[in-house]
Amino acid sequence: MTAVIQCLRRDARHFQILFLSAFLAYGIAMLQWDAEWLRYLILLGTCLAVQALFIRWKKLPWHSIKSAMVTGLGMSLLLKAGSPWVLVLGASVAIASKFFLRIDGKHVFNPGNLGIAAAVLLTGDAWVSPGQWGSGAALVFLVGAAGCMVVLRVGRIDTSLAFLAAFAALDFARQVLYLGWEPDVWLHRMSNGSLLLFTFFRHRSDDHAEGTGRAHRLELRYRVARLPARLEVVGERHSDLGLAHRERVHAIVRSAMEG
Amino acid sequence: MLLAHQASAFCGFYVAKADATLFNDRSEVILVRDGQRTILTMSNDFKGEVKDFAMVVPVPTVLLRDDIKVVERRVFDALDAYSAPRLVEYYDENPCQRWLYSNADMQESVAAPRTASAMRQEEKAAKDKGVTIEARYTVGEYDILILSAKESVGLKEWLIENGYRIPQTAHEVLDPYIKSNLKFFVVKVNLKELEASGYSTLRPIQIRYESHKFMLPIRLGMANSNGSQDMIVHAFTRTGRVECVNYRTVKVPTDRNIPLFAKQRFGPFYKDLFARAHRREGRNTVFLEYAWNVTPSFNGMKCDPCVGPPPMPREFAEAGASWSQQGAPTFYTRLHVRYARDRFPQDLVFQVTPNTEHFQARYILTHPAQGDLTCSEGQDYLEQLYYRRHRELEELNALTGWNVDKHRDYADEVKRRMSPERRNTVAPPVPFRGSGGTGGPWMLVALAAMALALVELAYRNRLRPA
Repeated sequence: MTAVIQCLRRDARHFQILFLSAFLAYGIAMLQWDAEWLRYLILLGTCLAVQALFIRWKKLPWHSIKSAMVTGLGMSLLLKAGSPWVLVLGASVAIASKFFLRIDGKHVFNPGNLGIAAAVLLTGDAWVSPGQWGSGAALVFLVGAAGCMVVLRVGRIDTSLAFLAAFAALDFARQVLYLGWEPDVWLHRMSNGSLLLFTFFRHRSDDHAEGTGRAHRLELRYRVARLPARLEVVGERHSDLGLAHRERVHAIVRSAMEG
Repeated sequence: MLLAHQASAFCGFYVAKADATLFNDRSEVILVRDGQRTILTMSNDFKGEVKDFAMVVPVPTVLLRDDIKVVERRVFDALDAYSAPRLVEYYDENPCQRWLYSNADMQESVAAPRTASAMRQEEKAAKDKGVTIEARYTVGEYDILILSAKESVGLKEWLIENGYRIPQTAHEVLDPYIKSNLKFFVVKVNLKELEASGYSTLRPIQIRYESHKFMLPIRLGMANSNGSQDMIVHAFTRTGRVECVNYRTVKVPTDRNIPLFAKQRFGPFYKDLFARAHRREGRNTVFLEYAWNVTPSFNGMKCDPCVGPPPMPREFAEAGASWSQQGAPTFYTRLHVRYARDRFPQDLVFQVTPNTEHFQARYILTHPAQGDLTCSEGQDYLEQLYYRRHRELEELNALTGWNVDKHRDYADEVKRRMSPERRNTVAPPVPFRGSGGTGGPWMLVALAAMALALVELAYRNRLRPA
């Protein structure tokens, strides 16, 4: 047991693997998700296989296989598709992007998110279910607390909390102060599991996706937090433009932020 | 026994359905989504005097005359009958008389006309309250106004003064809608038109608009009520299922074996099952009751079994899915939501997914084999039947909460049909907790173990992070 605990403490990714698995288990056992074992297997299997290929090709250390596991589990929580090939495509794009899309050795996009976007936009046979987490208080606690543990281990609680606080404040200003909804409408939006999962896990599942320095990170989070409000405004103004795929992009953004 | 009727692909019988009329305080809507276009048909299950009928619906745009239609109530009836939760019957064959196997057949189962000056007066009064009458139509038996407003109190006062029954607290909800730039589609009955139409009940109203918002405003209907209301949403898309974005969409329990005596009480059975599922899921979920590809040219099974005659493309077109008549792909989703103010603070927001997986709420009765069961296979069969009936009772209890103790004889009577030797050797049934779970807890454990094993392996091999 001590060995396991030591092992978990050794690398934040171990925590991530554990918690993402726990979320999956929670979703299936408590939230009545369809237990699509084949989907999980395909996503995880593809992520691991593609990562293994790159490890062999680029002669990288084998421990990086753990990142692929994190990506695969994260995608299992979000990405759904009508055919196995779409899943294979999504997972392959996610892992490949880690090796091809780099600037100064850093990832440009979060691999999992990119894989999901690719599957949804390129095939039209994939989707995400932002509502799948519901707004159960227990889950909020679980996701929040678990997320904190992961973040605390690498000393990055500031960025996640800054993101959450900025998002919450902006959303409060829009929903309650401006539109005049009761505070519980805002609370319902905030207690969405997808938002908290995004805050603590999705965006930090890859340390290299961001620039260095606290100020930069804080700014990035703030910009991300403003996105939903902005999209809503843009969407209202150009609702008749019929922009291709906008609805699907919306769905992805909502999945990550609004639910 | 061989029956002359044509055998169907489905090998059970449809015997009963739990249609929407079971639920009091309910509404039904048809929601068609095609790109940015939404076609919303609202059924008016209005029980009071028709002259008191008034409806206010927030809409994203000023609707034109052509965007508003009155449709026949039978469209709802046809859809409801087709997609309602269903009870099916199967018949066990006699293991002692296998050669007697036969194919089973499908059992048959208002206001006075306004003068121009009155209208001008009305418009002026409206303006004073910050309300603008954007458009005014008479469609079928309805007088319709499209309003925009500057602030909620004025709108509320105007509505009340003009005979629209709006709860006193409605302005709290109207305000966010006004600020979100929504218009108000307000409807009253034109008694003269109603009389002329020859209809005794109010027909459903259908509206059409273009907007990126794919939602159903439920908050206004809750302004005056703390109790829960039921809503059935019949949704049609070109691609696949509709699901809720801001609440969980969960399947109702389905494909459960229940005792034969539940047949007589299938309505109450489903009602209690729904109530229990609703409570179990935290009273804040949207339930999926039906999802099926209803494309006219679709070669697969149209329903399994059919509760009613499958709706025709013409009916889908009437419901708003006009593309269905050209044979284009059409997917039908039936959602059932029981909402109350405390658990549903937000309006329902939906999304269209490419998910074409079929789903139906189906409950199964299995009739025992008839005839002589004294052969050894027959005795084995009775033993299985005894256990199965125990499971059915426990399933019934798990699904509905009904007390099944008084029905113990349902299982015990099978025991009495066994030979004395067999009866003495039958082990007591193992408690069964209903097939409510996903059946995969061990898979979860396996997954967690796999993750841990990988971590452990990495640790042992000293594969440390860079």
